[in-house]
Amino acid sequence: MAGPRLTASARKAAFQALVAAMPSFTGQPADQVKKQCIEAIYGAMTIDASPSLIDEEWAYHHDMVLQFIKGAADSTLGLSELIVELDVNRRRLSMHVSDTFGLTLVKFLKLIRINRARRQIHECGAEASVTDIAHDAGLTHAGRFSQEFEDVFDELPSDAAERSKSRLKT
Amino acid sequence: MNIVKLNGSFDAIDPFLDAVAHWQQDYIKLDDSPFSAEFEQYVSSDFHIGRVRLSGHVLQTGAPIAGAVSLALFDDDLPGTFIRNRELVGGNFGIADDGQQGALYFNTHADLLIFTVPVSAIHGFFG
Repeated sequence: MAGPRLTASARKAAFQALVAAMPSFTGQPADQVKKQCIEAIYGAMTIDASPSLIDEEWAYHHDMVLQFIKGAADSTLGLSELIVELDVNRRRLSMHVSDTFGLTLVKFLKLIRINRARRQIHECGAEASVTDIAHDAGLTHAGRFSQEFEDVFDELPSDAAERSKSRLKT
Repeated sequence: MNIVKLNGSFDAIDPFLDAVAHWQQDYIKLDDSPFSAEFEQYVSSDFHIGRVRLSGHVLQTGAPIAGAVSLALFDDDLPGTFIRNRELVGGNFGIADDGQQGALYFNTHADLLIFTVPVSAIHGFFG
């Protein structure tokens, strides 16, 4: 597929037309709505042969980030060990994470694990202790974990666990 | 085939993730800014369209459902919001083809109309 383009005004017009039409979608035949949407969006496009939308270098770096996220969530290894285990280029990964998210690798790793712990707490409720969940996520310092968790989610992990417990009961 | 409407409004990330589990996306909250989400979605057997408004500092990863293309339009420019490394300003828009990572990243907020259709519908359109 060649590179499709929208002018800013055509993009805005298509957005606004579809948002305005959305309430009428319910009850209409699906094929008709699909046709309407495709015409609104693609009717506003021009197609040219300029370079592809896909930025290969970005895709390469993003694959590294995804590999890192998965590795960070699936293991309790420290940063250096994880980098070796994943066999990724530390310097390139670090630059990409810094340029894209404004974070150091250490901070990014910690955030991935805190998010993972949060999800576990939400899903497990009182089935597992917060300390065990943090430990399983590679966050071994309980006091620091609580503080960092609160910094990101504005509540203590123990409060999140209590809320989750109540939710799972009902 | 009828169209089903789904909608929701959330001020915490976990209930939002529960509600949109079928999107099969992963969300990582990257700082302490408050998260909120609102979506209105119309779903049929082979496409869906919906508006999603998100706030916070978040990285969303995941691909469109197999065999589909997702396209994201926006109303006002969204500096600091990227899809596949394309900042959503000017004439840009977001697109993730079949099997590609969508990778939505926003510094503060995103307000997007997401349109997901089968690959065949897109390729049919472009011939």
